[in-house]
Amino acid sequence: MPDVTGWLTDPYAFDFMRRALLASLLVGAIAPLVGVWIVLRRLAYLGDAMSHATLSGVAVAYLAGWSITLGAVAAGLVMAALMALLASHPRLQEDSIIGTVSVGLFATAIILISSQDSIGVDLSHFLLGSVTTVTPADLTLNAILGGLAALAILVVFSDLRAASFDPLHAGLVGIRVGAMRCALYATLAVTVVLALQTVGLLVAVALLVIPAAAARLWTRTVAAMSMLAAALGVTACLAGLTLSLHAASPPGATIALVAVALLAGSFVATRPRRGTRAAAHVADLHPANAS
Amino acid sequence: MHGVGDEPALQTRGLDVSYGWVVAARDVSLAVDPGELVALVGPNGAGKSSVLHAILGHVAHSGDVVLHGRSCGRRHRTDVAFVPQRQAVELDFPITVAQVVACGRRPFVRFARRPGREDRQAIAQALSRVGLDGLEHRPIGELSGGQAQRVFIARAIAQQADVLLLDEPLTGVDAPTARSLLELFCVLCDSGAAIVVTTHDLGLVRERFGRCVALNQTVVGDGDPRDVLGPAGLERMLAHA
Repeated sequence: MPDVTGWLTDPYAFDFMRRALLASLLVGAIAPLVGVWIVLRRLAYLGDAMSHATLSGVAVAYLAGWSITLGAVAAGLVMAALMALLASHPRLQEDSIIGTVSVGLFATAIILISSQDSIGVDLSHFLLGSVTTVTPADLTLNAILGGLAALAILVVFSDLRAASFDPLHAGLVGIRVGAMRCALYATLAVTVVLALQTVGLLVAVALLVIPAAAARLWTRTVAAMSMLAAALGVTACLAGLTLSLHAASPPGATIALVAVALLAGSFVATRPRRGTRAAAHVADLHPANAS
Repeated sequence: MHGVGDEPALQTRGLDVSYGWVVAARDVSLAVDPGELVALVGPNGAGKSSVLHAILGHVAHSGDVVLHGRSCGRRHRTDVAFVPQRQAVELDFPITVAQVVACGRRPFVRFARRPGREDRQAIAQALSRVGLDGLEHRPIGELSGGQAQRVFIARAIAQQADVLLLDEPLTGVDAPTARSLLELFCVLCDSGAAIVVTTHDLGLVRERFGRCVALNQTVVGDGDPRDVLGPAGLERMLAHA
């Protein structure tokens, strides 16, 4: 019989591997909690755009010698602020705003990077992730940022649910719908930065969107969806990182593929059988039988 | 008509709504008394939804919105409840019936707090009044169209709003469901609510409503539906503004 325990634990014999595991588990739990709201609000594109925009902060911080993580967070917050500003014009649609702001910031990053030959190699860590180089200081900062993001989501949970479901009514009963949106963008910015180091900018959206989308297939409430999404995110990170260390494959891409596999499995397992979706329409025709 | 001393529950005075250069509604003045059920009718583009959204403060407008004699200004209009068009809300959203109704309790619950015992009782009572007992934990996406409308009405009851605006609640529901919704509106009116319903179903308005306001950008008829929706009234309502 194969030694499953050994297969799971062997790669984590060294400190830097254990830090990689902790960093991955952290982002695997936090990113889907934010991702649930991104999926429910149909903003998957925003997750991808935000990860590109943060590269400008990475480049500026690198050139100025500041903390790369905080630079990326600042770029994400700049993107959130610019989006909120542009959203005040009624004729500018959200997808146009997201595209414009993220491309503007990403293009800035490319110009900054191309002006300095020396930083190209280091920035590739952020494009593809570099989880095995996480330092104890990185881990502490990530834990603080991740904790703050999770706390923010928890505190505004019911208002965020109300504002996401029916924003017109939410505004009517005193929920600050615009402030909720800004808070979500800011939380997303922080989460994207956590994902940069682990899975990299190019597949950061994998941990934001895929576990949440898979959890939606199984669950009927946002709370249940959030818990399952976090569990699926942790599973994807644990399995993906362990597989990548055995197979010597890139950790970020392997984690992303495991997440895709979890979504594929959820799709097959929960696909509605033919005819089941007709139930609501039957209830419409025969209201006396509906309840 | 309301007499001297008793204020209408809802009043608009010279309400104008425009989107850029496009005028959606102009000089709309109407008053709805407590306990009154009013149908707001008009062709597509007549400004029905714009007037509702102006009353709710969702769209920029000029003119006054007065609730119980007090001008609204920019404050939150928690004493007005709104039931949106079915297609305006994502009914596939993972939210249960009780959670939707709980949104109506938000003015009574402090930020980041869970609803208390009183709120839970109000939610249960609201669901009972609309005949949805036992469906608290059902996701709203699993209900029929008529039941979903009742959930939003229960949310309005839980909100303790005495002015209720419904945007085409009778569209897309079958005749028995429409009848039962109208019976529910009458029950709510009997307990003092002022209800404004936009609809395209003129037959139902003639049959079941005591008052009808016809819009064609501005008010072109107001009174007994048999008069407002007579041949001359219909001509005014459908004329190009």
